[in-house]
Amino acid sequence: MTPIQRHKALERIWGTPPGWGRLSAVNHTVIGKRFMLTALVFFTIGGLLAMLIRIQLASATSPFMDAGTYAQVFTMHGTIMMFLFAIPFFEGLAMYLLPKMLGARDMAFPRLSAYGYWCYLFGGSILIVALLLGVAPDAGWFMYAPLSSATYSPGINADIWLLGITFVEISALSAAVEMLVSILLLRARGMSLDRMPIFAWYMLVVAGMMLLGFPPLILGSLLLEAERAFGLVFFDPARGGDPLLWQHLFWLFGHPEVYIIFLPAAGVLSTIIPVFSSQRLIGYRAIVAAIVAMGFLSFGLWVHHMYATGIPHLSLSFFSIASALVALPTAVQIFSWLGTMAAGRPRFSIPMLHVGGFMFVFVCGGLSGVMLAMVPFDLQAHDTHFVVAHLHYVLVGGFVFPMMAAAYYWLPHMTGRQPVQHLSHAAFWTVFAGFNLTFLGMHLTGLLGMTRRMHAYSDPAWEALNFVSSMGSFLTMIGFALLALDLVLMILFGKPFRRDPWRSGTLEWAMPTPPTAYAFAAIPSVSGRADTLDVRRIGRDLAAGQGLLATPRGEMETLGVDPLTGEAQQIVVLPRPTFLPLITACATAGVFLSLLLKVYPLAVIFAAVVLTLFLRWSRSPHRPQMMDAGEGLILPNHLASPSPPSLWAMRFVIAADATAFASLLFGAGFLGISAPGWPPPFWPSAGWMALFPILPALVAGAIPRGVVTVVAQAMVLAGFSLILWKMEGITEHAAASSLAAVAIFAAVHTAIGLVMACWAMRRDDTDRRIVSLWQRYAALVAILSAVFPFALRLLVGGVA
Amino acid sequence: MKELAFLVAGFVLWSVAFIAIYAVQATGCAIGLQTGLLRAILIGVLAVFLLAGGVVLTVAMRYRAGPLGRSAVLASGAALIASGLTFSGIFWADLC
Repeated sequence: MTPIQRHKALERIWGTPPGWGRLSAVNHTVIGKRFMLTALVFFTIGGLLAMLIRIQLASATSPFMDAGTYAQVFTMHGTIMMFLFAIPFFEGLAMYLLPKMLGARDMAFPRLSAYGYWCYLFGGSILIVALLLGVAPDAGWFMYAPLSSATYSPGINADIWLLGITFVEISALSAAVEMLVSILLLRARGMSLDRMPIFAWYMLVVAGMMLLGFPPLILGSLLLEAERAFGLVFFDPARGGDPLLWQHLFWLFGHPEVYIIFLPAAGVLSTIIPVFSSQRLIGYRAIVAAIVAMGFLSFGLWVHHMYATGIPHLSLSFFSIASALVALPTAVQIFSWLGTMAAGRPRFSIPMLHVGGFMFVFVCGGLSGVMLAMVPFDLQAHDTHFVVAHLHYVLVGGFVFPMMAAAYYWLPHMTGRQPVQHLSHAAFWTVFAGFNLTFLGMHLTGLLGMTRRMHAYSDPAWEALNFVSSMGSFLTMIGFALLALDLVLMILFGKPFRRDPWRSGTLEWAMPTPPTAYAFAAIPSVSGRADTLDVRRIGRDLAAGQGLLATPRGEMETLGVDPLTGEAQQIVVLPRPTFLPLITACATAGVFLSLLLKVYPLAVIFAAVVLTLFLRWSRSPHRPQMMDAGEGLILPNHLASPSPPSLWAMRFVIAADATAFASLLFGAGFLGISAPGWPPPFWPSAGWMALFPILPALVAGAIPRGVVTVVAQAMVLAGFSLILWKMEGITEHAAASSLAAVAIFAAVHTAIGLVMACWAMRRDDTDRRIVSLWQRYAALVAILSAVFPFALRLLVGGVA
Repeated sequence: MKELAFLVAGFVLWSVAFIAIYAVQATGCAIGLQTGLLRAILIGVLAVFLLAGGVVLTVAMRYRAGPLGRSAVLASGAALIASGLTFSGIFWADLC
């Protein structure tokens, strides 16, 4: 088979259909680019809102928005930048790059990528439509209760945030599962974990953080929406709730999110700097340890947003010290980058200019972060423009500059054209100067006492600084416009090249550019660290079919490896383009819109449709079998493998779900110990009947398949339904609301287990193993939920 | 997969210690435990986790020649130091 014949055959198999067929795309290159482009559209909208904010604050005498409109504008600016730009942009970049860097042909679950994209697009669109209709969220991007409660935000605005963001976060969770499984299982032969390109390490840790970071936010949003829509009590102190619970749940997500945004950018820097320094990355192993340390430490900082809430000194010390400690792994990376540059011969091309911009801005932001980590200073600067300046230095420095470097570095990969550099320098310096002009002075505005989110002011001392900030913001906007123009010029008139224009050493350059749908004509083998490869030679060899899976068989095949050693283990056969992700996302949008419009029966119907569609996804024409992988290697397909990707995915889904469950139990315990109005005037109780679900749950956990499980899960569901039926006063006190929430959580998980148990009766062994995992987990949730009311009562009794 | 487990084990322990110490402190304060007794319990909990962290570091050092071995040693060491520093407040700060 000639390379051209192979190319045509693979393109027929992997290509996305034209016309309306594009909506059925599942290919990682297509979906990754869609994510990034959509994120840039949202970035533009968020940027325009920032301009409105700066016009409003430019002088003490020219406010043009009333307080209500201004509240919508700053809330949407923050929400868009955090949820609709930063996270989805790097998700897109990761989807586009990871398979290509790792030597795979696609992500592990292409339909999940497509589903995540549609959820992101629809969820984000709901928020933008709300903005256009004048009913956008207006309680700030972190939606603090009680301001966001039905009492103080009675309209639909807050509901749009709570439901819209939860809808968008489906895409973040699906991307997390997708990235974890893809990085661990779908790599080139021989690419052990310690040979992976460093970017993949960053994304592995980030995906783990997303998996555990987003569930508390989703749970908090659902609890707040339940309080607003149904009158349940979690955050209302008059009925045993506590607004601080929202802060805990939000920042349990919110602080790791800063690192979730920074780490992919750091991964970009760790990839680009060695290439432009002509020097292997120094301290690879130390960086791996540093990323892991950052991943964990970032979860121990959440209360540093809550120093002013009156928590005990000892607790403050934990969070303050952890906040300072997280600077150390960051410093390890920065010194590693500096060392790499010092040891090599840096070429200051355009991407490196943006790396320089990052170094300056991010280090400034990091230092002001260490200042804010110190409790006494934070109490002075809390909720002022100093904090606004700090977070912009960290996020623009830590994300936007690296992403601009990434754009110049990888856009040639996407387009096949190199930068023309007519506007590149001017664009960089305009953004850099404009940014510093905007935010440097804002530190002083904050220290002078200007609090964030005020829509008008009268102090003349603030006016000059605010005016400079506003002028700087316009300069920044001009810089971004120049940058966009420069990138468009590059796409249209850039210089074509053959392969690897930057002389890099990672596998994404060992393919034609722009990339083909199948990425690699054959799957490469790797025998050393995968960031110093001879990309040009490997590219030629792969195009000639020298590698695994080089003979097209009509299926979308890629290699599955042992997670640690990279030894070839299985052939993963991926699904073809399909409209199912789009249809499922439309049905999911139906659920959220029904909840938003408070047509609850319709929401239940849409939820049933979503469940049915997901079950339909599992239909597969393939059977377990052994297959020829080429080069004399015979491997099982994923259905015959003891460790298929879907089994790993279920493990990760359960980990995310367990985090939400643990957060719920923590929330109820927190209210019991800390909230005013406890112990409650009455305890809702189903008596010893509350323990009824335990026995069948034990059975379902011990025998997690077959008719026995169906019967057992049905009994557990009946038990929790009865408990909920008997529960009284759930809108009167947080105790009853919390116990109802726990029982509902258990009932929903049991119901899912029941459906899955019925479905698995006629499925193959792999599906049954996956379902068994869920049954065991659902049984554990049921048992803990049945025991929890007694434990909570005991705890509250001790406190009383 | 034990290499991967060693890479994260130290910081998993740090996380569990964080939850345990924070929970003991909050509950102890809420139920009105005597300051001296609460401090002693907290010191005991921290000691257990430091000991466990030391064990993880020792075992990780045995495997340092393998894949991810050096990263695991660095991460375990960092986690042990982080545990000592993060929770040092139990010796000197006001508990409630």
